Amino acid sequence: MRLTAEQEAFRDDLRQYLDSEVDPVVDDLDENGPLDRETLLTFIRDLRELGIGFDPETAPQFFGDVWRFVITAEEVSRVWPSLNVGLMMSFPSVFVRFASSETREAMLPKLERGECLGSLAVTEPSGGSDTARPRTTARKEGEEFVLNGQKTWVGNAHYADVVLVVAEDESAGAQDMFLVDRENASFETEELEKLGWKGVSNARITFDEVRVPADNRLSTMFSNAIGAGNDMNDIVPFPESVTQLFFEQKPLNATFSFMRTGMAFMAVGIMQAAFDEALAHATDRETFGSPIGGHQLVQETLYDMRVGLETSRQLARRAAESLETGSEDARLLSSMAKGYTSETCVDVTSNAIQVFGGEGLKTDNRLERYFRDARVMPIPDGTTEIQKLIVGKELTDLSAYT
Amino acid sequence: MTDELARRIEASFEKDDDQLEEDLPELLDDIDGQADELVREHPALVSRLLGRMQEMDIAEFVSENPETADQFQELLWAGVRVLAENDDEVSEQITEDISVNFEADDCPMTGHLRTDADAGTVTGGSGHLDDSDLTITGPADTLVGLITGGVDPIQGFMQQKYEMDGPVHKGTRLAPIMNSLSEKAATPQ
Repeated sequence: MRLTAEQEAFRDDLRQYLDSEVDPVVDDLDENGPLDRETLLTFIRDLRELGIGFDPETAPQFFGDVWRFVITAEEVSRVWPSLNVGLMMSFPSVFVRFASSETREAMLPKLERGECLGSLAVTEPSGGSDTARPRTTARKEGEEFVLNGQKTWVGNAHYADVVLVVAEDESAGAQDMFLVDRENASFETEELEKLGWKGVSNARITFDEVRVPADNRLSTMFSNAIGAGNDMNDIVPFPESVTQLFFEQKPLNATFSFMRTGMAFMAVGIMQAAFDEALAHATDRETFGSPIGGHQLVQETLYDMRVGLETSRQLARRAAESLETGSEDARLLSSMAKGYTSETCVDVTSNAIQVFGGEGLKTDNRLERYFRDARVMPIPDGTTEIQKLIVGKELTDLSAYT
Repeated sequence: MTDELARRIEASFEKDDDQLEEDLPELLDDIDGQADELVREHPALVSRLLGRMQEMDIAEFVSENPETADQFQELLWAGVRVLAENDDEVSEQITEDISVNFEADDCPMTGHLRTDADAGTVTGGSGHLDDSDLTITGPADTLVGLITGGVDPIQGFMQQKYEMDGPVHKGTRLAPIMNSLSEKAATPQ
């Protein structure tokens, strides 16, 4: 594939911004992470100027163009993966427009300014990411649902304005999602200390009798919005090819395919940063009177890194193409890409440290951050093991996980 | 005139579910051929009968009484047809020609629906159309619930109670029609 002139210009503008505004501050901010709400919003406001965001004006051109979305995931992650996570995890705020009147009243002005931060609460302490059988429950009481349960590893949880929570809808006997807005409901969060992605907040959330309006149930929001004459793409600002996959591969699976493709490009961005630094070091650093890049084993390491980077990028692009065309392989390719690139970026960033030798182990060197951020990649949004089972199911039509 | 039939249906409401289920094949047999007339003359009664039937295990009923499955659907679709033909609210929702096949995945029940934007009508029946825009697959009671109002079409889809194949925009245009029909079906006329 080749990027269009417009997509290339978009990437160039983004690179310029990241190099001039984020790169100089990233080391300090990551070390002292997670970001506070206002600092994250500063970056989000800047990115909005470049056409990246989740407000009603920006979301259709950003999430609605697969290539803009993946270029952003790769380029932002090349400089700072945590910023990419903070940005992408805000996606659920797009649903504010279709929520209950009280949520709209509280959050719509923020959303329209691009300042309504979102969060997605899927994983549970006891059940992992088994979205089909969440233990968090939603009990119907009059015109409200009452949420009870715990979620963990919730990105942006500390400062998010709205959280989209996967829960068992007891009234329907089915899994659904519920939009909780923080102005009308409160819940406890507990920050999680973690190995990588230190710039972004990940927390455990406890929902204890948290009441949300019945109209904040996601399936009701869709029903109401379509009843009011909206198309699926008005509600979820994905390309039509992806919303068509809602029919063919179920809405949640199609959303995962979209987000996992973004994760694959995130891994590519981390690898690119590590490779660039390793290559520069290999040609600058001298031992025994010549650059270390002249040694055969260093060249072999660089070969391995570059092959890992290129195969990852190509597989991630195949996944993006499958989303763009609405291919029936979208679920298979996005899981394959997420699993493969996540594991490969651990190897590539580890090899980058190897090229640097002892220097690569120092905490004032970015190499160790790249490695820590890379090591997180195979876990969230479905572990590599889960991705393998999804691919296995897609290949054989036999499920090994139900 | 369907007054005698109406009296028998009325009497069947006094019976418990098991007895009603036992009597239903004979009742549906008697309704056969008079469904449209019955719906026009006794809409509230038909609405109640369909409501009672929704409380049954439709898949089990159809599996045990395969010959009455078509009669059951004919009554169901007669209700839909009559509701749509005289109701401006329903007609206004029909802005596109849409054809849909229904297929139960837990019993041998197939059906179809077709909307006509020019005429503002909805028609349906048992069996499949040769070339439909959409195919809806799911448990029989969910499919019946979609028509009678027990299952919200979008909510049911999002909660994965049934699957839909075909162009997404046709599906989103169909949903308000189904909603409007099921609201009418659930409201005693």
